[in-house]
Amino acid sequence: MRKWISLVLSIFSIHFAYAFQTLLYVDERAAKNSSEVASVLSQLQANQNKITILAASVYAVDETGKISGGLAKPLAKWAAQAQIKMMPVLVNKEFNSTLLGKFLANPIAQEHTIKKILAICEKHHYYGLQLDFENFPSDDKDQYAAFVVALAEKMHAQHFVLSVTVQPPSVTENMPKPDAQWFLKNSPWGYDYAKLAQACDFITVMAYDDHNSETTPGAIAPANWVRAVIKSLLTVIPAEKFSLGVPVYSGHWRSGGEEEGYHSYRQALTYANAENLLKQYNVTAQWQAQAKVNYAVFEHDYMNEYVFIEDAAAFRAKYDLAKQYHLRGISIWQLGFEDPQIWPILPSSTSKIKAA
Amino acid sequence: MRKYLVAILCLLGFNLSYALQTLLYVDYHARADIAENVELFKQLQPYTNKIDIFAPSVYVMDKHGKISHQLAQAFIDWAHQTHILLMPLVINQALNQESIHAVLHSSKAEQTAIEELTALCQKNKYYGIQLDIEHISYKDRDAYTKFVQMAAQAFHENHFQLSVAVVPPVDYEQQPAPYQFWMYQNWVGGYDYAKLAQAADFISVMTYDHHTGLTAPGAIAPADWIKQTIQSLLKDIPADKFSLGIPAYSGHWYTNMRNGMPVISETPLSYRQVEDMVAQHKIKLSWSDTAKVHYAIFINHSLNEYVFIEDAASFKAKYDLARKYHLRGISIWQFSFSDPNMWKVIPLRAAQRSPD
Repeated sequence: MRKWISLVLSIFSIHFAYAFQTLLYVDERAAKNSSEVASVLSQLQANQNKITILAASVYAVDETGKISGGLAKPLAKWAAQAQIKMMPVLVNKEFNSTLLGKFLANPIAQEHTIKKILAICEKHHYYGLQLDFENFPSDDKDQYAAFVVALAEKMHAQHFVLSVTVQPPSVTENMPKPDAQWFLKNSPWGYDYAKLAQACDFITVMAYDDHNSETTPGAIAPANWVRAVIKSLLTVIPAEKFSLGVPVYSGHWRSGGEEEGYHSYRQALTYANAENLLKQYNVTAQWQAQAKVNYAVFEHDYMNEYVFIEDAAAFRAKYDLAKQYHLRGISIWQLGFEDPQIWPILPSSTSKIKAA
Repeated sequence: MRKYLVAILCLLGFNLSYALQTLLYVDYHARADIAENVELFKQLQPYTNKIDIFAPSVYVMDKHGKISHQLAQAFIDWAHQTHILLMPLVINQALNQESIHAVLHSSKAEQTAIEELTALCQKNKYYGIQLDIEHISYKDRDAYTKFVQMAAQAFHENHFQLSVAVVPPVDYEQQPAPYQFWMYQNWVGGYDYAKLAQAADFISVMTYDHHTGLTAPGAIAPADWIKQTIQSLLKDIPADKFSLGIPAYSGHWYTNMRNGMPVISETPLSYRQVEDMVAQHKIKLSWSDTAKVHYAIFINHSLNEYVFIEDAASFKAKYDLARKYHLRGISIWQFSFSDPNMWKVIPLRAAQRSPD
C-alpha cells in the first residue's frame, strides 16, 4: 500500500514539476528605435498565454567587450504587463569569428562585459540573458566555457537566469555510437556542452539548418535528424536544462548566380510566403515521412526549385520529440515566420509555474 | 476506298522513309589497349544495325591547333567492317577557354588544326569529324564561326563531313537570372547557331546538363525543356541538320565536403550504377510528368540525396520529340552509360550505308 501511494505521488510530482517552457525569439524588429515594434506587439498579443520567455535578439558585444543595442520600450512594458519573462539575446558582433577570438583572449574585455550584462539586467528588470555566440575560431572551447562559468556565477548571485545557445554536433541518424561520441567531443563549434550545461540554467540547442545553401535541398530540421541530435546531446545536457530549438521558417532552394558562387542556394521563407509559392506554382506539397516535413518540387523556367516547409505538422513532430524526451521546453526561431496553426499545439502557460 | 489506300500508303511510306540518324558517342580512351577494345566491340555488337554514326571522343586540340591522341586501328577496322560511319570528336584541351581563344586568334593555329584533322580523315577513311569545342567566351563568337566556316570548306573539298556540337541556348535576354547570364557569357554565347548550321553538315545540340552540380537537383534533360529548346532552335538550325543530343547518364545530387565545408555536389551515374543505388537504398521512384524522367529523393545520413534518371522511358520521350519535329536524328552521350532497354526504342537502320 505504501508502495502504491509513493508511486502515485511520484507520478503527480513529475506532473507538477514538469512545466513546459516555451521560449520565443524575436529578431532586431524588437530593438530600440525599431519601426516595427507595433507589428511585433500585435503578433505577440494573440498568443501571449503560450509564451513563457520572450528572447529578443537585440544586444551585441564587440571585441573590446562593449555592448551595443537595446530593447524597444513598448515591448518591455508589454511583457511586464503580460507576465512574460524577458530574456534578451546577446550575440557576438556580426557573428564575426575574428572579433570573437579577440574577445575570448581578452580577460579585461570579458570582465567589462560581465559587469555590463549585470547592469543591463538590473536596470531593465530582465529575467536573465541568453548568450548566442557563433562562429568560434577553432579551439576556443575552454575559453568560452570559462567565460560562461564566470558570468553564470555573477548572474546567479543576483538571481538572474543565464542560458546559452549551442549548435548541434554533426551527428546523423544511424550513426555508429563511437562516431557520434567522437563528433560530440570534437564538434567543430566552440561548445563544451557538458560544462556549459553545468554552469547555465538552460541550453537552447539550435537544431536547425541541417539543410542549407551548401547542402542539397531538404528539411530545415528533419525529425529523424533532430532525434539523433537530442539523443546524442542528452548524454551531456540534462533533459531539464535542454531547450530544443525549433525553426518555424521554411526554405526555398533554387539555382544561384555569381553572388551565390554559382550553385544552388536557400532562401528562408515565412510560412505565408511558402504557401504563396505553392499557390503561385499550383503545386501541392508532399509529406516526407522520415523527416516529417511537407515539401514541393516545381519548375520555374524549366529549372527545378524546391520548398521545404516547417509548418504546423513539422512543428508538431518536433514538439512531440521534446515531450517524448522530457526536455525542458522549446525555443522557437522566430516570431513572424510561423504557421499560425502552431499555436494551438503549444500548452497554455497560464499556470506559469516558475521554472526553477 | 481509294482514300483509305492512299492514307495507308502514306502512313507506310512515311514510316519507311523516315528514320532518324542515330549517332552514338563513345567515350574513348586513347590509351585503351586492344583487349579493352575487343570488350567494347562485344558490347556494341548487338546494336550495330541500329547505329548510323560512331563518334568516339578521342582527339584533343591544343592552343597551337595541334591535334593529339589517336584511335586504335582495331577500332577503325571494326567500324569499317560493320559499315558504321566514323566521325570522331575533337575537343579543345580540357575544354579550356583560353586554349581555344588562342587557336581562334592565330591563323597559323587554325590552319594547323584544319590540316591535321583533314589528314586524319584521309588516312583513316573517316566519314568526318565533329567539333566539340566548349566553354567558348561569348566574345569569341565570330572568331569561332569563321573557324568552322574555314574547316567546313576544307572538309567539303575533300568530301568529308563536318558536324559541330553546341550547347543549347539560355534565355538571357529577358531579365537574366544570374546563372543563365553566366552560362551565356561562358558556354552559350560562343555559338552563332544559324551560321554554324549553314556551314556544317549537321549540328548535335547537347540538350543535357540542364540541371548540374551548380543548380538545384533536377533532370539532366527534362522533356519540357527539350521541347522548348527544339522549338526555339529550329529558327536557326533547319530540322534536316538538327541532331538532338540525348543523355544516357543520370545525375546524383548529395552533400559533399570541400575544405571542411559542406557543398552540394552532383555526380553522373551510368544506368548500371543507378540500378545499384536503387537496390542499395531501397529507393522508390517517382515519375515527373513534365520532365518525363524517373527520380527519387532519399535520406542518407540525415541529409537528402536526389537521383534523376535517364532510362529507356525518358529516352523514349526525347526520341519521340525528335520524330515529332522531324529532326535529322539523335546523338546519344554515351554508350557505356546507357540503359540497355533504350535500344528497343531505336528502330533498325533503314539501309546499310557505305562509308563513302
